[in-house]
Amino acid sequence: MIVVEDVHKRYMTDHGPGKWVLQGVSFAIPPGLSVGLVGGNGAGKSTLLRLIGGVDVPSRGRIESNCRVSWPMGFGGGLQPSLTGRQNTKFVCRIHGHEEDIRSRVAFVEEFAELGDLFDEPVKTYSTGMRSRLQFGLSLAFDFDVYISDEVTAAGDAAFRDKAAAAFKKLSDHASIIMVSHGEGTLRQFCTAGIWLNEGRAHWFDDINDALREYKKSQLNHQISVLLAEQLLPGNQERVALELEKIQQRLKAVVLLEQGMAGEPAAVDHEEGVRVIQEANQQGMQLVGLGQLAQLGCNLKPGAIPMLKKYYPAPHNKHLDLYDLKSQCVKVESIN
Amino acid sequence: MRVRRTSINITLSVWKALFLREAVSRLATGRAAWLWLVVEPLISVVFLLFIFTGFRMHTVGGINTAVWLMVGMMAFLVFRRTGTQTQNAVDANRGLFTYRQVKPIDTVLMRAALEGFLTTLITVILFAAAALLGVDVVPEDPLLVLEAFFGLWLIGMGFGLITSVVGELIPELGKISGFVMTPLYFASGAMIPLASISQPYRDWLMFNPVAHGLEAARLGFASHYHAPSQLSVAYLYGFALVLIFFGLALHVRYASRLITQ
Repeated sequence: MIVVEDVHKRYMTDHGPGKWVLQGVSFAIPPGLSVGLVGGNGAGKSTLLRLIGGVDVPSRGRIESNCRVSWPMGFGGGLQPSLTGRQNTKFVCRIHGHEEDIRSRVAFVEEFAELGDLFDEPVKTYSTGMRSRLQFGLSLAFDFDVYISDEVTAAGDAAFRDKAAAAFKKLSDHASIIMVSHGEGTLRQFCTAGIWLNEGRAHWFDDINDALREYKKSQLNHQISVLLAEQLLPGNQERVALELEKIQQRLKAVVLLEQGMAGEPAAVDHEEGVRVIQEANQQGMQLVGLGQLAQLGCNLKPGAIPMLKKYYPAPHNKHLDLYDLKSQCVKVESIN
Repeated sequence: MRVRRTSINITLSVWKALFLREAVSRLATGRAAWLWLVVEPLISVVFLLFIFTGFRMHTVGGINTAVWLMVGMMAFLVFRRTGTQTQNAVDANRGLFTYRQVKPIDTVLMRAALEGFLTTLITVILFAAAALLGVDVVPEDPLLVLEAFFGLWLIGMGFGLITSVVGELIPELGKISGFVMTPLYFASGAMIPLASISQPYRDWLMFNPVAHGLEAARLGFASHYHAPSQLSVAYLYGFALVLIFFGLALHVRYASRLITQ
């Protein structure tokens, strides 16, 4: 159980205290529940992870946990560049009090990270992907109740992502994960619940899909407000109007999804999906591409496609094929 | 289920890990890094010895010039190396603060410990070499020598504790502490016998605690050494205590600032 209560955070800058990154964030993560954090750049996702990981302290409020929480794995943190991978591994084993079985743990990390001879080279010679592999292997070498991952699972090549996902799945019966990732597939795959960080506040969603959708909606709204402002400038009315229409259509689609079949995207039945698209068509949003629908968080069942083809006239059939491809992509992603 | 570790346990394991990590960096980075640790003081001593004997100064303040130089040089190095190495400890270990077990103060203390250990080792090596060359290097009062070296190490650590925080918060001041070392080298009597300096300047120089440490170490080697009359080991330790207190206080106060910057 991790309890975050009214947490505020701001950083000191060269010019005195900076602006608030987090303002009154409160939530509780029950044991065994994996949570994904979503939000725009600079929304405070990494800051929140650092606070939960105990690396940093909140400016106000408190964070309590009664379980073993890992350090936040992420960009280059936790590795000493001048030391080799092996020396870094030994260091981490030692500070976690595993002096007696250091050999087996180092062997595990060496095997998992698949760095070959580079395991005995300084970490500063590693590529980003190799660093992530080492970090990921390091954290798996210890038993935590909660693993904190800041984009680390997304790194590495396809084969490594497979391996990482398999390792995580194996852990998931006794451990959970709190993660930040820009890969929606990764978030859907690992997380049940979601937290959307916006303007210093956290919004809890029991379903990660809802969190993603809410985040998308806010982003689209933001884009619209930017475009509306741009429209005031002379000379680009036409271009902006076009873009505005596109984005507003996407937003409408999201709202429709919410009304029609949001909540349990996995349980969407075919008729419902078809109805939404029909409705969209009737409202004059002719080509809310199905691929877009998929991106927007709608998981149509594969069987829906032949049915939908009836409702989509010939020239637009290719979107359905596109969707088919897209769904395969989604599938591939979820296997990884 | 594993037993929860106590705070002391965690700190001790962090210290051990950091000590080994620092030792690897200090001894294995670059080509023959360990060799330079020994060669640097050796060259200074040999060079100064060459000049002193050139002036037919075979004794300084009543003791053998070689011993006088070596003791002064190594005693000063205990202070200087500890002080300068600890100053950069926080910055050099920034990546490791990702682990909440590791605090900035740990890195400073372990660098100080490593420098103290290494300089002691080098001192022993140099004196053993001198003994083989026929110089009488057995101290008359070994306890006083240890006391002086330990006091100088504490001063170096106190200096480093303060500058490691100040240098992070106000980088400009960090630069100043860098060039304090050279004047201190002369003002501490590493190559000038302070007893030969006339009053009132000697009084002024003896405000410097490092000078007390150096002269006390020499006095420990030969009780007939003409040490300045103001010499006080208590002053050395009192000064170190104050520095360490302020250093620790700064680390407590700015612990989170050091990590987040």
